[in-house]
Amino acid sequence: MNNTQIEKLIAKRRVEKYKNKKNLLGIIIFAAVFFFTSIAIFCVESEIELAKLGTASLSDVAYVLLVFLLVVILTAGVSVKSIYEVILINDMAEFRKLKLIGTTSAQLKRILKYERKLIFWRYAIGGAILGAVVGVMIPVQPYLSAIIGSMIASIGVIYFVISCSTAKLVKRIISLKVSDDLDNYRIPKHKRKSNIHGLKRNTESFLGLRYLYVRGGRSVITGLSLTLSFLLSFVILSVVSSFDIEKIVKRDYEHDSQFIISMERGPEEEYTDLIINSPYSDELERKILDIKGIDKIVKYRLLKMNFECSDENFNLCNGDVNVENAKDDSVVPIVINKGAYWYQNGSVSFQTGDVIESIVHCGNVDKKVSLVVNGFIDDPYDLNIYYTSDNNLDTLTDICCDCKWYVCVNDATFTKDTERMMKSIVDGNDRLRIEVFSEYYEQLKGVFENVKIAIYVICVIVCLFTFINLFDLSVNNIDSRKKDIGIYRTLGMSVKQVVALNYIEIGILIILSGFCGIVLGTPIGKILCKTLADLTRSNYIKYVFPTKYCFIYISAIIIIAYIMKSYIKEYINKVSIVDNIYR
Amino acid sequence: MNTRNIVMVDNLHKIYGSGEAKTNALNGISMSVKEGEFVAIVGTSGSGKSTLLHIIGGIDNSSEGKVLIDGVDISELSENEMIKFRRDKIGYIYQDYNLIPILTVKENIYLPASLSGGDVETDYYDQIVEELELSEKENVFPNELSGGQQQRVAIARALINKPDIILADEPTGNLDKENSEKVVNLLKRIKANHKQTIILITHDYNVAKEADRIIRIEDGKLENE
Repeated sequence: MNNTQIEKLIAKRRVEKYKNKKNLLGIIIFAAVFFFTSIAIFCVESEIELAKLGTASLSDVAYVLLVFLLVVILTAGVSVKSIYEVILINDMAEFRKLKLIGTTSAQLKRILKYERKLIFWRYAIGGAILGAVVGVMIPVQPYLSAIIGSMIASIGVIYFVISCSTAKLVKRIISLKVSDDLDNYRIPKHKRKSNIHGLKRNTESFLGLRYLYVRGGRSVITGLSLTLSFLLSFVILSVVSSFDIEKIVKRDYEHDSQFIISMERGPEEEYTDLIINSPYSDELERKILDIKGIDKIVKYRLLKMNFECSDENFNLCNGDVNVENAKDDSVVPIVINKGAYWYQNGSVSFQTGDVIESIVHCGNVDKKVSLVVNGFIDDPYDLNIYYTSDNNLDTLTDICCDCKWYVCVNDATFTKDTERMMKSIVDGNDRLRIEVFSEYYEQLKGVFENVKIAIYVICVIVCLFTFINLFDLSVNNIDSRKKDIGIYRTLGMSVKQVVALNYIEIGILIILSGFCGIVLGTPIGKILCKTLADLTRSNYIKYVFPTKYCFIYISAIIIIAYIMKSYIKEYINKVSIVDNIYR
Repeated sequence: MNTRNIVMVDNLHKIYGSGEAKTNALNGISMSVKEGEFVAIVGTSGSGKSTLLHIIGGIDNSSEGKVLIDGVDISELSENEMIKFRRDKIGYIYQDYNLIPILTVKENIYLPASLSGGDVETDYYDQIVEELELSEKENVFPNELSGGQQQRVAIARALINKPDIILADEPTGNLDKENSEKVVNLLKRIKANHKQTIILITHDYNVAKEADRIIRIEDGKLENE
């Protein structure tokens, strides 16, 4: 056997020895590569699609996913580092023996490198393949080059992160002297005023806090990863929960209607072609109003028009606005919605009294009309700009320019039969389509629920990394404090007190991270929701505290805490005091 | 001298492992220690002397036999009673000091008293600290102390609850000759000043000869007294 073979054999045996812990490392690597690959595929494919459409930059969703990915990578790196630390600290005696029989630092480094490779590759490739499968299923046009590129990039990045997170530990091992030991905490080196009062008041809390302090950076990293994952999940879920589905649906179902009857256009048919032979009729209106439970029909009417100087089409529609009646069909008063997105972002601006020379497409004829600005309204949630009255539309055209009928119901008499009869009215009429509020609401609610579940799953996985880290911290604490635990018990500390001592540190980290997550997450969530509402000009986004998620998170924490407590208790009962002291 | 037996060991057996790996660490040991006596147990490595000390101190169980401390059979004690027994009756001193690295000297010394929930008289604490020459080191951490100083802190910690029995497992094993002598003299002084029973384990005959009595143990059996 040559040197390389022996080094590889040692690495292989070490992996077999720490099978469970190394499987845990593998799962983290698997999950990190999986997330990276699937999100990278989505981002790259979206970017290609957006580039094709002429939009240069990534969508907001992709940015959120990238930030999410960074947190996943950070949390994975921290988790791997802490688990690896436990393994290496436990193996100090073995490393010292290897040094004692003449193993060089370079050889030790290679052993650790082989070991890392043994764990990494099988899980990383598995994660990349699953990530690619999910990436293919994402509803964006798949690109083979994007998939392969994302797989390679994710494996590369995660390998780099793992290497960086373990580099310092490996360095400590290879520079180890035969007589050295690795401590899991930095022992204070300077004088410190003894706090006997604190020690006497609550010994376990005092010791737990002192351990938290001496662990220094690692406590901060664990607390940070806990806070980050909770904060990220908390904010994402705040935003997701902030969508009021009923309001979204009601945006379409104006006038509090239950049904919308709209025209079905053929593929080649223009709107103006459609109204020439309008499917709306007095008979249809009468039939609808005769149905039990129907209250009224509000008609949304419009004519297409464009300015004389431009080919861009606008709607001239009716609405709840006060407009003077037109004297004739060549001069028509209008009201402008100055809150409309296109008006605010357009190049034109009008004053009361301004005259807009336009061409209105009145079905069979296009009329030159002077539109006189009669007043303004400010409705940022409406996309229409130009309003006039029903009378004025009737002056302009003889044909029916109804575009949609909003059918309102009488809540007292409305039944399922009303819905069935409404549907039967448009059955067989291929020029009319009926949309039902309750169906659309349920459908959208279902979609949102599915999106929420997907986000919940992702958040749970992010938190899982953190929980693994937390659990590992607990295991690490117990492993590294074996001797201290033995001494405490010799001095008369009960098992309950030892459990509490080890538990306080974890408890403080959990409570602090939860507190920081909520304190920081609430304003961030509110700001995000407001920004999102302003950007999208929607009245259906309103910040909602993610109570359900907090409940799930706290439940998960309680379960993890219970498992940790059981583990600590089992360990303390299993290992004798003598074994702890003379380990 | 009071002739009351504070420690009585009767036909003590300790078996580790089973089958072919079965080892008899203690093989029917019977002995007694009088109140206020300073006893040294000597024996070669693996002779069973540490096992005997652990069983007397209630941190290990015997396979057979009895240990009576102040007339109480410690194998009959419940878990809570055993915890209380260790807190109040026994003070431990180890070869490698076993101080808690994250606590200062003063905090280390006060730890057993904090666990007992009892108050320590300041005069008593000051007396111990002065006696053990630790007054200047109260607020430093153990890693800043020499081996001899650390062992003195361990002795102070063992004394703080005024236990009836001090169990010392090779307390001079990691110390040079000068510090070893200091520790032994300290133990003798403690015995004289505080009237405590000391059971000390050692390889070193020079240390053992300072005791009132030497017990020799070999292959889990007493050789002679």
